[in-house]
Amino acid sequence: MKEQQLARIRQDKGIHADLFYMCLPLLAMAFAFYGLRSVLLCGTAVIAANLSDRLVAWLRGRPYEKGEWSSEAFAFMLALIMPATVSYYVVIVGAVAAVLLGKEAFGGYGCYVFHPTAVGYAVVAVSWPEQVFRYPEAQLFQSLPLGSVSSVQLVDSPLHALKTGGLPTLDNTTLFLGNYAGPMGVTALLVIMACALFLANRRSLHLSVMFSFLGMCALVAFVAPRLGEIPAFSMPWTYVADRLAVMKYELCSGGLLFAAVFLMADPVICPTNRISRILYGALTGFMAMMFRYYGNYETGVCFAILAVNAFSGWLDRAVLRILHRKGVVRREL
Amino acid sequence: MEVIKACSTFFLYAVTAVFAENAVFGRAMGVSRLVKLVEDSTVDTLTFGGLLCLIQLVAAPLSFWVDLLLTPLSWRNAVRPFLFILCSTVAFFVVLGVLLLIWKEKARRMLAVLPMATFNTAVLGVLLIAATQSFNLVQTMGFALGSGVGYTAAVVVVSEGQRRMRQDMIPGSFKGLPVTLIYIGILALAIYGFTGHRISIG
Amino acid sequence: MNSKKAKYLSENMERIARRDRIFLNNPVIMQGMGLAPLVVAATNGMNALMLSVAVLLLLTPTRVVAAMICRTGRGQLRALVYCFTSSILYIGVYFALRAIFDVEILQLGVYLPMLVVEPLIIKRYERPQPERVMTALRKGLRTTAGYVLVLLLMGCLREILAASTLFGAPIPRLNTTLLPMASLPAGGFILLGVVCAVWRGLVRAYKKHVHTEARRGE
Repeated sequence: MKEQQLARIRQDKGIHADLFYMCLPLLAMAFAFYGLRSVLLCGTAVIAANLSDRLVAWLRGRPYEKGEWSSEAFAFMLALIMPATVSYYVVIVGAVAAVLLGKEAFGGYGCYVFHPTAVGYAVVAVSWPEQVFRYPEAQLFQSLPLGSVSSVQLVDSPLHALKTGGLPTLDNTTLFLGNYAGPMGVTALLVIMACALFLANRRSLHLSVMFSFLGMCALVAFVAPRLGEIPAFSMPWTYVADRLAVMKYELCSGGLLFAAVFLMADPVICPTNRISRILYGALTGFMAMMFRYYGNYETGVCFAILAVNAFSGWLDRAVLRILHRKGVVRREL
Repeated sequence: MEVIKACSTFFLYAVTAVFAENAVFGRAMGVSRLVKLVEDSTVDTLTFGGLLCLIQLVAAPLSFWVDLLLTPLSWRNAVRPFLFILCSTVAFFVVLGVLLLIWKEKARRMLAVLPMATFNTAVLGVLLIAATQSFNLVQTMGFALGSGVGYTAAVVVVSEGQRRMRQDMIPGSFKGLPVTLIYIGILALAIYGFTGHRISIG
Repeated sequence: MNSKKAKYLSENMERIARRDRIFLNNPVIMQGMGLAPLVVAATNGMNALMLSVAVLLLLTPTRVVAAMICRTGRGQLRALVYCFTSSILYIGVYFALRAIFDVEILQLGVYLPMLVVEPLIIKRYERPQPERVMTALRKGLRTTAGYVLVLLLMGCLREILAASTLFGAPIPRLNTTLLPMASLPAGGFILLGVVCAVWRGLVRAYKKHVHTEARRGE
């Protein structure tokens, strides 16, 4: 492995390991709601990613880098944004696509241009939408079948009501604990917030990205809510209570909070200076809402991440060029 | 009122052609040329894109009227490419004349690029799609302009991707065309987030 | 491989590779030509077969006729010569395809007539030196062979992955679709990228093997 890559791994050491470990509490919640199947799915994804990494190391004639946990973290995150009824094959394809296409094809760690989890998710979402966008009902201590799930009834997420201009009928406790049909790891919002605190404390999460992302999502949801009762183009100071309700549900759905904490934190994709990170977060938030409003899939955040990743390098360069223009006071950011 | 309706149709088809039905990401039109453009720094992307848009704008109405004449003929599918290339040729000479008139000597640099910008699958493909999907004149013009802009945007985006990629780290077998195709494919997947999966065969 | 052959191949690898338009210098894999029909239209074996016949009937005749015209006429109008030649020949090709495949060719949509301006067919116009007719015939046939091989490979692979069938016939014991995305343009791009990478890897391995054998023989 080249020296620069090893240096990059050392520099980012621990971030992906932290992300991996922070997926474990979410897996625990998924286990509580869906049973052993959720653990097996995540385990399958992680093993598939690890084997893919080893395969690439063998093909490239390089030693396998044991301390580098990014592939496993990407696969774990990918599995958590899937329903618990998705098939093992789909999870394997997603994990392999994330590692081989999203990461290794571009040169491995430190060189990928798209978030590998988003790549893997896009591949399986486009291929198997009937598996990825329909969910089993969540129930504490239920146990989904480990093999075929054809007997399990699948439903739309209650937050699907937002797509049709309605408001979900979930109380706050259910909403924040995640006890409703949805992807197995993204509904437990309280746990995700706790993970965010841990990651921020470990400096594995740039708060500027997270807040700008969520802030933009909140702004779009507030200014242009997709609620049938609020007329289009109405002034933001009208229907404030309804707008706040819609904003709450929008932020709590579609994996936005999970994406803000786990996906936006990637040290390779994230721009290097703070202003770029804020712009990157805001742009991704805006695109995520546009994909949710007008796109075909209610969980548009991964597609939005892919779209914005194409521009994040340009964003970084443009901001640095403006900052280093003559006459502008230079500050360490 | 009719003018406003026509303008809104024009812009709707143009914007759709730039994003949702992008010539490159949605239909792979002009991809071979795009791959060469991205590798070849001697051809200016914006010059090529600008010429492509001009050619589209001139050729589109010509092809629309030609196609109207072809409608009653059962063998129109066979002769359409020939007649549309004729339209593209007329557009070529019109744009050539305009360039020489306005820019004179400076236009010489653009002239080397003009044949590439005229005779390619992005131009012919757009004219064929507008004809087979029976667009009216305003829709054809909007779709043609949007496709030209969308194609240029695609070249810029893929060039930016090339710049970001660490060419020295990419596996040897993936360097060049393979990783560029994977890059375009991943962006095409992102666009599916908007359009859903619809086979855009035309 | 015996050492004499290896030495010859090693010393002449560049020239041999340039001429070998099937494996070592395939027009798709090495030069990125003819990508649009491959990515969008060649989604199954039948589409690939129809496109192959179209390219077979169009590429070499276009190249030969255009070479003949260019040798007699003005070089500056090369682009027009190639495009008009291919579009006029396309008329005959269209009727031939209708005779062979009937309305099945409608599956190809605009990607059949778009072949007329595919770089695969007309790119020769970019080089100013007129081409000799026999060279045009030879290169046309070799390029056709290389392109048809990749077309059929991609078409069959995409059909197997997306529909678990081959030319419409179900594959025994394959009851599940391996990768539905393979029938979409995005899947076409990604799959073609992977096939290109694997193919180029095999070419590099072959060249390395030849050079190793040649050095061993010295």
